[in-house]
Amino acid sequence: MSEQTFQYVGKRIPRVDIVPKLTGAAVFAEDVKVPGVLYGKLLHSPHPHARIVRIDTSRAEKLPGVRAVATAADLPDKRVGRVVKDEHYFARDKVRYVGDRVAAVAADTREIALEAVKLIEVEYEPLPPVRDAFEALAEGAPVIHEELLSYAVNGPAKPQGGNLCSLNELTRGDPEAAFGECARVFEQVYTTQMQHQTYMEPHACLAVYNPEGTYTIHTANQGQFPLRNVVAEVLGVPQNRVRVVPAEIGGGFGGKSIMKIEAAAAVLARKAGRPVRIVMSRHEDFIGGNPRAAFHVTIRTGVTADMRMHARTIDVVMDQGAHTHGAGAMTASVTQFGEGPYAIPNLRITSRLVYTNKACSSAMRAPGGPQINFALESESDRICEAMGWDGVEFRRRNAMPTDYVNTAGGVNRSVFTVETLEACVKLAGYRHDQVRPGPHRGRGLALGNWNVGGNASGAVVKMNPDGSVNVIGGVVDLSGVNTTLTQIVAEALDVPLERVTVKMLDTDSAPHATNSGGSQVLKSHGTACFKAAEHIKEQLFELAVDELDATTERMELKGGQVRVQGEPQRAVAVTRLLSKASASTGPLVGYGATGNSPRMPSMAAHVADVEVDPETGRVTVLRYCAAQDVGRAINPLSVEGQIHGGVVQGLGQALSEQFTYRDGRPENAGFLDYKLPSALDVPFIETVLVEKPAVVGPYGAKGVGEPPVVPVPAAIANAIYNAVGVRVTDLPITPEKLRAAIRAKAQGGA
Amino acid sequence: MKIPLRVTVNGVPREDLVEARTSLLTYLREQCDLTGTKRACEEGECGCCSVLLDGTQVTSCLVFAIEAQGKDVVTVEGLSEPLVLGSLQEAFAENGASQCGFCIPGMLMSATSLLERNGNPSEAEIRRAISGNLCRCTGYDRIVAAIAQAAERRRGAKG
Repeated sequence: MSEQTFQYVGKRIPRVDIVPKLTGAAVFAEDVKVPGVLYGKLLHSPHPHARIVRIDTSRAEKLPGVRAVATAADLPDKRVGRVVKDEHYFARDKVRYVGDRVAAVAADTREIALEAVKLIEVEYEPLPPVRDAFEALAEGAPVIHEELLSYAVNGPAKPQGGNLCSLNELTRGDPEAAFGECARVFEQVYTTQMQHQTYMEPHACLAVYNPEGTYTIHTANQGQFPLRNVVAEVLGVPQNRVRVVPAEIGGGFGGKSIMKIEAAAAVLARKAGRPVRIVMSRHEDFIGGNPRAAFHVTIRTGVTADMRMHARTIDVVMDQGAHTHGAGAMTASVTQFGEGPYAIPNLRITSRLVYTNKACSSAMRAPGGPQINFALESESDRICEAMGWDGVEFRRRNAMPTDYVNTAGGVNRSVFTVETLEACVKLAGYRHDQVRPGPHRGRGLALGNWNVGGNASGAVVKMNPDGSVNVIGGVVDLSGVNTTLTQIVAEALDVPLERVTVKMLDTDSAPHATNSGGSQVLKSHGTACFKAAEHIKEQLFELAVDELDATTERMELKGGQVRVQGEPQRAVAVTRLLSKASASTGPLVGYGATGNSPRMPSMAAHVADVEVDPETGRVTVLRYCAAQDVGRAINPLSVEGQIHGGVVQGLGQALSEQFTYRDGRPENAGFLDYKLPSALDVPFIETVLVEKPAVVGPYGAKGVGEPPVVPVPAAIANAIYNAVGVRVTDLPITPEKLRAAIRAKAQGGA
Repeated sequence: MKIPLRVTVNGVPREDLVEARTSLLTYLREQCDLTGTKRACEEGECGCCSVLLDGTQVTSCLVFAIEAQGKDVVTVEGLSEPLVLGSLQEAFAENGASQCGFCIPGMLMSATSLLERNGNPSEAEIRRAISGNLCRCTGYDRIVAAIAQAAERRRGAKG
C-alpha cells in the first residue's frame, strides 16, 4: 500500500459509543430488563474431586418461590470442549474441581434462589485431589478423567492417558547435536502462577424461552456465534433455534470466550416458562473462572562465540485444571510463544497439558505468551551477563527476520523485530548512565512476540438513499473496534465519520463471525468491512457507467460523487445513483468476508525502570516504556489504550497477582486477597507505535490486544536483577519472595 | 418486612418500600431503575458501585438502603443533563479514558468527590483518590490524565 494521506485512518477519534458509558446508560448484561424475570443461581461442587452418588432436588423444588431446578438429567448426555471433548455442562458421574457445576435453580428473588441452592442435597464420595501438575504426572496419581482416551479430540491435542491430556512436540534442526557445537550451555527452570482475568463485570446473562420453541440469550460474551454454537450443542437443539444478543461487555481478556452460565439460564427459562437472569458473584467468578495456566518451563540454551543462540530446548508443563474448556491456544500455539522473537536454528519445544483438580485454565490475553517470555527473556539477560555481551546487541543478532519459516513450517511475514527493539531503546534512552541515579534502582529490557491473525468473519455494508452508511458485524466491541471500523469504512467510501454507523448484532441478524479475542478482530472485521465497502463502490461505479460514459476502472469515489479520475467535471452525485438504483437494481448492499488467515508476528519491546526497597522487598515501577509493532494505527488513541491496559495486567502478573489453592481448595477468591494493581501501583506508560504496514490487514494494520502483556514480567525481573543483583525465577515477584532472595544473597547464597 | 424509605436521588425526592436487608446498590438498580451504578464484587473492594451519599463517597454495596433515609444520593446518572455531558465526562471522552466502561461510573464518582475537595490535585493525589477504583482495561493512564485535564479546565473557567 502506498503512503497516501488519510482523512480518517490514523486519527485519534474518541470511541463512537463512549457517551452511554460515561452517563451510565450503556446496557450491560445485568442491566437488560424484561418483565417477569426470575433470579437464577448455580450450585457448585464444594469438593475438588469426588464421585456423585446421589442428587435430590425435591426439597429445593418445594420451597415457595422456586420456579425451576435443573441438573444433568435435563440435558442430553454429551461432552463438549474445544480441544478435547471432556466436559459435561452439569457434572454427571464426578465433580472435578471446587466450582464445577452440579445444578441450578430459578426463583422469584435472589434470596429465595440462594436458599434453594442450599436445599439441593448432593451425596458425594470424596476422592483424593490432584493438587498440581507434577502430582498429576507422578506414578499412581488419582486419575481425573478415566475415559480420557475415548474422548473426541479437536485439533492438535494428543491425549496420552492418565492425567496427561496432551503431549505436543515441535522440532527444527537437531538440538542435541547442536548443543555439542556450542561455546557454553545454560539451563534454568522458570515457574509462573495461575492468573485470573478479573474483568470488572462478572459473568451475567438473561435467557428467554420463546413460545415458538427458540431461545434468546442476552449475555456478556466475547463472541456471540461461538457461544450460540456451544449452547445449541449442550442443549441438543439446532443452531438456528438459539439467538444470542450481545450486551455491552465489561471486560473479557479471554475469560468471556467460554460458555459459563448461559446453558443453565436457558434450561431454567424453558422449565420455568419465564425469563431467567444469572449473575455470578465475584467469588463464583473466581472459582468457576478460566484463569491463565500456571507453567513450569525448563529452558536450555546453547550459544556460540559470535553471540548467536545456536540450540535451544524448552520443556513446558502446563497446569490445565479439570477440563480443557477453551485451552486450544495452549496446544496449537506451542510454536508461537516457544520460538520467541528469535531465529534459532536448532529448537525443540515440548509441551505437556496436564489435568489437575482446579479451575479450568483457558485463554487469557496471549495464552502462554508471558509465561514463556518470562523464561526466554530472563535467560537472554542471564546469558549476556555470563558472556559479557550487550543485551541490545544480543537481541539484535538473534532477532527473527521477516519472511522467516517458523518451526511449524509456515512463513512469518511482516516481521519487524529489530525496528521494534530499536524504537523502544530510543524511547527509553537505553544507556546505563541514563538510569536516574539512586540506590537499588535498575533498568530491564525484554523483547516479546505474539502472533496476531484474522479469523473467518463477514460484514455487511448498506448505503442509504441519502448516502449515509450502516455497517453490520457479528462480534462484540471489546477494544474499540466499532470506532476503528467506522474509520475504515469512512475512509473507503469517503463519507464523514458521523454518517457511518457500525453495529454488532445478534446471531439471527449478523453475518457469521468468530469471537473478539486473539488480536484478530481488526484484521478480520476490518478486512471484511473494507471488502464490503469496496463492493458498494463497485456497484456505484457500475451505475455510473452510462452517466459518465466511462469504464469503471477510470472512476473514483470522492466527496459524495463518482468521478472520472483526473477529470473532476465529469461527475455524478452518489445520491442520484442511489435513487437510480432503488428504481432498478435495488438498494445497495455490500458484503465482505474473510476466511481464517495465517497469523503474523507482532513484536513488543519494553523497558522498565524499578526501585527496590531491600527491607521490604517492595518494587516501585518508576518508569515504563513500551514499543509495539502495529502495522498501521488506525486509531492511535485506541491502540495506546490497549498497550496501557496490557502493560498493567502484565505488572499484576509480575508483582502481585496469584490465584492460590490449598489441597484443591481456592484460598483467595476475591479482590481483598487477589491483589490487582491499583492506580497507586503504576506510572504513566510511555508508548511508541512502530508503523511498518503489514502485507495483509486493513490499511496494513495488525492486531494489538495481546502483544503488550507478553514481555512485562521479564522486563520487571530483569530490572529487579539490575537493581539488587537478585534473579527471581518464580512469578509473581512478591515482596516476601524478593526480600527472602535478597537476604539469602547477602548471607552468601546464589 | 418492608420499611418506608424517603430519599432524594439525583435531585428527585422518592418514597419507596424496601426490605431491611436490601443494599443501597440493589435499591438504586432495581427499584429506582438506575443501572449505571455497577455490581462487581459486593465486598467494597473494587469501587464500581460508588455513589455520593450526602456528598460523601460510599460503596453502595456495603450500605443498606435504609441508611439513606432522609439523605441525598447522587449516582452517575446525576452528573449530566440529558444530551449534555458534564465537564468531567467530556474530559474522559476526549482522553479515551473509557474502554469497556464498567468501572467508569465509579471512577466518575471518585473524581467528582476529589474535585469538590481539591481543585488543583497533583498526579499523586488523583491516583490516591481513585485508588479504591479497580480498572482492568485502561491501566488507569488516561483516566488520571482526564481528571487532571478536567481540573485544569475548571480552574480556567473560574479564572
